Amino acid sequence: MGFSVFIIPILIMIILFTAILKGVKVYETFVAGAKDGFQSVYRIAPYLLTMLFAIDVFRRSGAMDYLINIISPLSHFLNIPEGVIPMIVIKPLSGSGALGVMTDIMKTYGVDSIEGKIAAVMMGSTETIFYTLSVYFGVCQIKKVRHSLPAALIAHIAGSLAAVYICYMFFK
Amino acid sequence: MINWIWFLMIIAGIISFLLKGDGKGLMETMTESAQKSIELLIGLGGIMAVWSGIMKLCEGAGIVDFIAKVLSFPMKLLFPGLERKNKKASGAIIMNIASNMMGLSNAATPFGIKAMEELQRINPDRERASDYMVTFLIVNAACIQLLPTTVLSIMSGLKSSNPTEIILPGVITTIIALVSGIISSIFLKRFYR
Repeated sequence: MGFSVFIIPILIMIILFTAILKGVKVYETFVAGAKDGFQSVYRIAPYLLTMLFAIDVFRRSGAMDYLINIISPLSHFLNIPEGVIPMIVIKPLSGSGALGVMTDIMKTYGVDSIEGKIAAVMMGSTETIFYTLSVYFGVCQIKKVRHSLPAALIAHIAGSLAAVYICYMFFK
Repeated sequence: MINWIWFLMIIAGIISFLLKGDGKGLMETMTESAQKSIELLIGLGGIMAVWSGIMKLCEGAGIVDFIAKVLSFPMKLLFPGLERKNKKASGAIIMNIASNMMGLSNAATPFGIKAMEELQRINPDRERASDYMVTFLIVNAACIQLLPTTVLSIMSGLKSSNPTEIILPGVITTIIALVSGIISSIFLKRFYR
């Protein structure tokens, strides 16, 4: 853990030194990049707001808890610990939400419990699909997203199941 | 499809509010959600500008080309022929994957957006996602993290005996997720025009 804090400072130092040695005008180049960055945020804003609105309504209303209750019986069938089901449901929707659920699982079952380990592996293994999808396709005004959503969801489900069984293999 | 999911999430939410007899809930959530989005965007604007600046420096300094050489094999496998068609796109994809691997999700987003913009330039139909775009999205949905920094710091905060032991299972899990995503996209491709 200790050394990972130094990755970013070292990385940025390497980048700056390489750039200046190659004769790049560092200040002006950085400004040009920053301009791109602001423009991208301006363009993704409506997509991000629209998607987060639906996700927030879905979560805050308790509709997501109903979905978790519906899925829970499946967990026995597939030999998944019931405690990690909320993690599987929330991960595609919200990154910060998933982080909260993971911390909650670790506090409830213990950070070194099998539930805690599975939640940690899930947290690091797949991204928040709905957010990524709406922002990435929004920025270039793509209307037909084709098979990207089902394929990403299949990746998520396969990853979630793999997280459970691989943690069983490693930690049980 | 995205239209239906968006619609269903909100309708299911409103019905759940009504079932609970919570009339104010929707209004409160709407206000809070909108506020939260703007706060997020303001924060994102700053950090995106910084990382986009760093990205430009990496391009200028030839660092992107260097990482591209290291990752050239998986890139050829996932995005055949892309480097020839649009070098900037493959460069941005590489930087996106590299920052995800190091757990720098703040940096990954600007690179990802840049990659999508570049992919759009070589897209024959501007309203329809190209195969490259779909593959890129799947790669992002299952991104390999060699250093899940946030997870590790939470685990050590909760006094885990050995937080780093989740890294290897995490990498294996992501590879499985990625491979199943790519394989299913090959099969699903023919059903979506």
